[in-house]
Amino acid sequence: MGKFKLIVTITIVGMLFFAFLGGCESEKAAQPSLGNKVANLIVVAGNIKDDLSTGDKDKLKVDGPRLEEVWAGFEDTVKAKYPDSYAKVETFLDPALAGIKADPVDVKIMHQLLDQLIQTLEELKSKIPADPAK
Amino acid sequence: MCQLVTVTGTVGNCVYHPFKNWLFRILFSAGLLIPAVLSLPGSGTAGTGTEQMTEAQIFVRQAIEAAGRGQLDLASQNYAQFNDLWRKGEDSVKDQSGQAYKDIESEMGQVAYAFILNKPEAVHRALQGLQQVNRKFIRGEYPAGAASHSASSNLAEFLNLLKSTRTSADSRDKQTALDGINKVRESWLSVEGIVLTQSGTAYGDAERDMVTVGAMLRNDDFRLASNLLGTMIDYLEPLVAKTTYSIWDAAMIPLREGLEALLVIGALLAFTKRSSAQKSSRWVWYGAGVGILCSIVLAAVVKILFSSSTFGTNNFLIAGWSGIFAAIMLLYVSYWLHSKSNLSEWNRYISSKTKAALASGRLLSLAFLSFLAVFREGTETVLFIIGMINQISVQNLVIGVLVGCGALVLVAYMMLFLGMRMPIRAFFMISSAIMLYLCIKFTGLGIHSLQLAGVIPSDFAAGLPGIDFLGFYPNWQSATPQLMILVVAIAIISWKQLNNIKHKFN
Repeated sequence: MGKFKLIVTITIVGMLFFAFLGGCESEKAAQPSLGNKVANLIVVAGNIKDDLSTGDKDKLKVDGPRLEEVWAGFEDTVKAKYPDSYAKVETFLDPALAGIKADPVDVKIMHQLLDQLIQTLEELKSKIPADPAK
Repeated sequence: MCQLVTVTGTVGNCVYHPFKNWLFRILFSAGLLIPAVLSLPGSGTAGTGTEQMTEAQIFVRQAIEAAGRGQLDLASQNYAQFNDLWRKGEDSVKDQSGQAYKDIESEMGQVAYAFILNKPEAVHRALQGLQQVNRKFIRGEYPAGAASHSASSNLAEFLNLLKSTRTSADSRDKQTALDGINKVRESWLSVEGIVLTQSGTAYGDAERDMVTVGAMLRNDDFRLASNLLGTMIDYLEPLVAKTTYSIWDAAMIPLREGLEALLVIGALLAFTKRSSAQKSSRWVWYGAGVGILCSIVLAAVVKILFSSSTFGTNNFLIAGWSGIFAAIMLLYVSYWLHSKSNLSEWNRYISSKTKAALASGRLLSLAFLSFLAVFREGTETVLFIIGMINQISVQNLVIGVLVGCGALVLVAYMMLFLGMRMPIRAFFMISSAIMLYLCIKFTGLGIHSLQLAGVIPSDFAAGLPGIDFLGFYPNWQSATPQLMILVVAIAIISWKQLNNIKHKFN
């Protein structure tokens, strides 16, 4: 009886591992692309640059918070998978967010910060494999 | 030492010690109650985030002093040291208070921006702002978990928006419904992160369905729009309240499984004690030790498998399937444990093998028996922990397992070294209750996770309550198997009681 139970237990452990592996693959397919998320953030940063260039303060009020919100949606994933990139993004993103709230906004510094942010995000994007799950 | 446990159903071959037995019962109950007390709200450990921020705050003060003297380079160095410590401990702060995390990051942004401006007064002012929010956090003035609460509130508000849009669609009020769905799409940005971290499928579906509902409303397809809004509410609603496993749940597993192994070890020791073979009990301990080691290795292998993959807390498929398998295992173990014929068969097996080992002097087979008993329970422990690993914090899991093991060691010491007798009836009763509870919870959380992964549909059941403690959700797909388990358990207990009564009359 003891041996029988041990065999059943080991069989179920094996099945469990296969279920994990299978589940992992299925979930990968269901996950939205992290690369697209990063690309979305690059677009938002680009929009802010445009707002600053055209002096559209109303649009800046909408796009500014969006930068923070979009990043908040996937920053934990980046931190877990690409800790170096996470730290670098935060290095430029945090002062950029502060700079948007400043009055008056220093357009030159903001352009520099946003360019560095976009460059960092492009680097991060290039690290993410083409697999949509990543 | 008297016979400690039932081996062939003969309890109490030894002299009965009323005091020891009562003491044992009290401590046995205490062992089960301690984890429950530890899991009560407010009894958690002090946040390490506070300690880390207290340490990091020293560098902010030094940076302020340096900025005050106009030494921006030195201030920058001091701030960099603060930044390093912050990066290491920010998760603890986030766990403790999401609002504090957000405020500190915002003030850090101000400091970084001020350094870019290269103005000592601006740096000095920004650092003071940072010092103030840090101080507020260290003093515990931020509400615990504020951000996550507000995130849940946001999602709850988002759901209310969906519901009001659905009401407008039901009443064929096109303009109000269209305004509603536009607001839904605008609000999506503030909740998409919460949805994504919990379920990639729900996230993808919501993005698609919002657009579809808008198109349906524009085409005056009010009924279809209302149905789709109902579907959205169904798959987003479970994300608002997320039930997880507690320290108590984690503690019960090693305690319960360990007690079962202890019964066998006790039986083997009792046999060797009565035999003439000297030092044979040593082999029982060797076997048990190897069994524990192998169980640890198995747990480590499972842990490595988990960390080497891309599993995240949002992987509901894994949490779902492991929960379901754990529930099936529990049902199987429950059946095995409470089937008298199987139990006596197992006892006979141990008895015959032990006697043969002692008679032939092949003490290695004695060690193998004890290894088998311990490793079997160890395997089950690992299995059950897998079942909950995705839905419990590492801290709670570790505390729970340690509390369970601590209680087990206490019970083992009393049984094996002080000679106390385990209240076998109480053990089986408590064990059955624990198994039933875990089985219902594993099933509920497992199916709920599969619903979040989009594998199983979710039909809201208006009449059913939501019970976090049992992982019971108001939808038919998860509630039905849970209710079936409960009904079957009640039926088995009633059947046994009836049999007992019949037995008495016969």
